[in-house]
Amino acid sequence: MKQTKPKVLMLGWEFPPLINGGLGVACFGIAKSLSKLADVSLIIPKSDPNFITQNIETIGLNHLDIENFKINYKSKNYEFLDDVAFVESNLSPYQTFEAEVLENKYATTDEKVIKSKIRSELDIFNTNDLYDGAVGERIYNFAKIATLLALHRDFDVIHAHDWMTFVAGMEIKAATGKPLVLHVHSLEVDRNAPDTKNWVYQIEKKAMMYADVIIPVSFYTGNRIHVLYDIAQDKIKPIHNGIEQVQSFRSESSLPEKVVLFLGRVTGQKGPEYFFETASKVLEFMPNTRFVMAGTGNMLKEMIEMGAYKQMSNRFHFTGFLSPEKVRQLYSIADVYVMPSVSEPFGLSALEAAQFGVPVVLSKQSGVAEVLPSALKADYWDIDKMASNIISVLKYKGLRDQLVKDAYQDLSKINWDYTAQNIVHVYESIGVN
Amino acid sequence: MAKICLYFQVHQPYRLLEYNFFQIGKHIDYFNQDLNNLVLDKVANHCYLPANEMFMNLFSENKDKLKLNFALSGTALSQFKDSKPEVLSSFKNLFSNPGIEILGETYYHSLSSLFRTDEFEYQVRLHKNFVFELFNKKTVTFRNTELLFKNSISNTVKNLGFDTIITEGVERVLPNKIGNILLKSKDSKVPIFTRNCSLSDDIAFRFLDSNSIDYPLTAKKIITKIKKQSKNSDYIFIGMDYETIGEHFKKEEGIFDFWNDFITQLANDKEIEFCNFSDFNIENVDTPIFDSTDVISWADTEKDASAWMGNSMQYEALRKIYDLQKAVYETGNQKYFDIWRLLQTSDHFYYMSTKRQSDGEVHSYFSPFNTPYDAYVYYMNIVSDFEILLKKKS
Repeated sequence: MKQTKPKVLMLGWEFPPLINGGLGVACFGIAKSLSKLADVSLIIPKSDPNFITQNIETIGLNHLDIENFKINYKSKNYEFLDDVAFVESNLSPYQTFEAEVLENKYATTDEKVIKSKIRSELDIFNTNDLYDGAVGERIYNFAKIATLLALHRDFDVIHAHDWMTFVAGMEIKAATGKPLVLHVHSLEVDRNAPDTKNWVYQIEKKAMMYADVIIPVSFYTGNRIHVLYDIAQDKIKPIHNGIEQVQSFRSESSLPEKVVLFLGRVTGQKGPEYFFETASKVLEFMPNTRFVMAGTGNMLKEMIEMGAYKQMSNRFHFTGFLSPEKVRQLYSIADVYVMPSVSEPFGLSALEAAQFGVPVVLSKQSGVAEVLPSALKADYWDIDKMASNIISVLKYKGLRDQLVKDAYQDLSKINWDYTAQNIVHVYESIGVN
Repeated sequence: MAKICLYFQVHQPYRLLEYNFFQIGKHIDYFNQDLNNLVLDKVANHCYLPANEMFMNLFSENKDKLKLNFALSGTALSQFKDSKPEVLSSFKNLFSNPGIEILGETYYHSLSSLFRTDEFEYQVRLHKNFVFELFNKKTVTFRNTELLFKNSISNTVKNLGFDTIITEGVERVLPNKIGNILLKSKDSKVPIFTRNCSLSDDIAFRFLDSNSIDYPLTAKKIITKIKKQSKNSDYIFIGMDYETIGEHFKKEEGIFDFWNDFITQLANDKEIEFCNFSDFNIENVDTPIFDSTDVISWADTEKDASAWMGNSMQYEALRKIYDLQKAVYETGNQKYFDIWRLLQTSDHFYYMSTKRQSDGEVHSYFSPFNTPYDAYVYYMNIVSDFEILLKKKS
């Protein structure tokens, strides 16, 4: 019989209200539900004191009380950190990176000097974009401070979300001997290219080898970790994401045409060019259709130019980045939601669309397809099948109604509490009770 | 004396192509002839030919005792006739035995009884004539597609010249929940026979079920049950797909040995008598009334029409096909009548079922498509193409 709850030291990066994509939403959902089954302390780069999370001790590095900060300057653990930096140095796109890390060794025992040093290190988190050019430096600073915090805390397991916190996770495991759980929401091989071996990949791989267990958000991603990172299957324990129940609604569209929606970062991983090709195919047969590409990213310009070139601009629209409220509005008028991702670890937005009663068309290369058995699917490159799925939904009301109904049934089995229970089971499997 | 009615359903649909959206308007042949031939070959070799041979032998061993009841859909018979004549001759051979009764039904194994009375009548007549033409036998007992029944159907069936109807022994509808009893329909007082589901499923579904208390199933175990139930019964009606013998369960799994044994033991049992449905004369017998305003059938756990009409895709597809009646009549073209009717075969709608768990497994076992959504989309693409074709011709 379990007497006490496990104490979890969670390392996050994005967290509400700072949210760029699915990571922040997932991290919040997991922490909140896990806090019912475990004592959760969460270290994140930036917290907002106005955003209160019950039962979760949230430590934002931007609000750290440096004056009362205990510094264990005898720790030798940074050697491990240096090792990581050295390994990656020749691959790093950030030239100053290696020097910075070396310099930042606290070559003094003067507490005042160290504290002022830490203060300057923390400045880097006063930003609205945690992923800008200084992201490399940021993750190492995060690792150092988080380790200092961890050394004076009591916990049973380290739970790190995505590569930005993996260095911290490794460092804390080295310093404390506590087991390390990696939660993989996204992989560099998906964001970049399957054969990438860049420094982010190196961090991911090193952390995966060093970790006690890895939790990918889907079996799809679990398989990629096995194949592309060469990690043993038995160390990989996929757990699907959940979703918050929302008050969904439908609105009257001001457009007479059917609306087909793409929502996500406009980057190669999300397959915007396949959406574009599909749109052009659908329009041949159903000219009274409008396509909306919501989101922004490095391929947006290219997409806009392509729309103009193909003279589709009166049927193909771009919204740029949208607030959550605007996103919900868009869901409420959409007739089909399309996710043509080339490689999608999960794809929370597909579940959100389904919550709004929008039929979902997915690429087979997506984790969310595992929890939406009713969704229509096609390989991301199979433009004909993708187009024919969209046309069928728009054309056949019986299909549309049934897909919506079945997706609601699928959704009823998906929630963060269930995700959290499975996480606790994974903790138990590595002896954390 | 226990009177046992053994009944087999023989059916093959004309399965459809994966007709994609871009083919709409191109009027490509809708039917997957390769697949239909493949299935026919397989089932003929596993079931029809060896099972017919087995029963042929059993007839010669048990002269004047053995009686069997068969229902064969028109779509199955016409595929035998066109693509597998040796199967048709094998059935002709078997049916030359005097103890064989052939039942009437809709030629197209359709749901027309629930939608269009005129169409239903036409398809039943067509089947009646086809059976007479092939086997020189008159059909007097009616079994609707998958034993579908509701009160109002009995009037139409009676008017078509049938004496008797068989249907499913659905407990919630049976008077006092008791089966194996002679009944008459509420409307027009047609005699009704109800299938004994539990004994039938013992063989048809639980033959290899190691969780069943009867496992491993033997002829003796079933006969013991039959005798036990027959004490207060007028008859015991055991019915299933003919394809159970050799196709659903394979020869290597012992299904032929079971049937050989079962028939031989029944025939040698002095307390048991084989019957055809038409053997019973209950014109002047007072029987309880069978009253079902709702549709019943032998399909799925619900035993209603939900296997074909359980979700919005199925409703939409059915609505669409029956809405085309007028357009088809306007062409006056026999070819289009035939296509329209082949598209009414209940199997197409069965494949669209989104039921899950064990019933869902049965649906997908039979389906040529990956998902019910695919089944619906291809069907609707075909109907859309057919609609264009009809417009051109009228």
